[in-house]
Amino acid sequence: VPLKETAGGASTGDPAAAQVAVPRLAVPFLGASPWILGAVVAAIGLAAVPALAWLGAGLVAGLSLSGSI
Amino acid sequence: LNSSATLLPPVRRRTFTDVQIGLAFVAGCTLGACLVGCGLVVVGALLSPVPHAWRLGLGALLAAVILLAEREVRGLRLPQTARQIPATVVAQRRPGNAWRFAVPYGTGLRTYLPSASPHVLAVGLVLTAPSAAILGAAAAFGVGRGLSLLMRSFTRQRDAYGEIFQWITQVLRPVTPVVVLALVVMADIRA
Repeated sequence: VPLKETAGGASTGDPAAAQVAVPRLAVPFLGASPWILGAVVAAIGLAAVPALAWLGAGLVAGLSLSGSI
Repeated sequence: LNSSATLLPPVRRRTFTDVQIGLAFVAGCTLGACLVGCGLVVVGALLSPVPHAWRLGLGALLAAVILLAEREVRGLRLPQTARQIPATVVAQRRPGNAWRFAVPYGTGLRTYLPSASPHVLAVGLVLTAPSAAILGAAAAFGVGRGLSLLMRSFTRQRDAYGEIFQWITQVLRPVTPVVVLALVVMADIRA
């Protein structure tokens, strides 16, 4: 039996262990579709754009003066 | 020269005190900027009854005037207090002195302003931003203004760091008003 890597990463010659498939990427929130999660994250990100833009504007304006007397 | 950079010795010697000076400086700058931010909140509230379209038009007009004034077109000049903070404040390298230097320095009202960025930011905040955004941007302004000294407090070759930082600042300074204006427009479009 060829050595195969199991889900845990350990190599073994046991055929039963070799049958263990690597699980799919675990998605939180009860297996919601990655597309839905992506849309939620994108919506939160877009909602945060104005706040980030204001913070960025303040930071850039402050940095533009740093080093002045 | 009573630059904020003189609050730190040219080479790293007293590490903990130097970092304390840097932190006190950032905190003072942030407090000073937030005090001005409170004033901008009041002005913004007074202007809030004006229709949004009118405020946008006024903001665009003022931004254009500011950008022209930065280049001293037709004798226009940026409003600023062309004054230095007294040298006695920075004579002693202590966190308390850094704090005393930083609070008026962070306001931007009692020092030289070599860039039009704060003017563009103030106009954008007063005319288009909600109160929380004004305070957030003001705090970020204070952090940005004090950040260079805090970073300097962590470096060993402070003169070399100062020269590099000065060079980067001088190269980027002319474009920062446009960058700030773009960020203000982005914030207003997405709001």
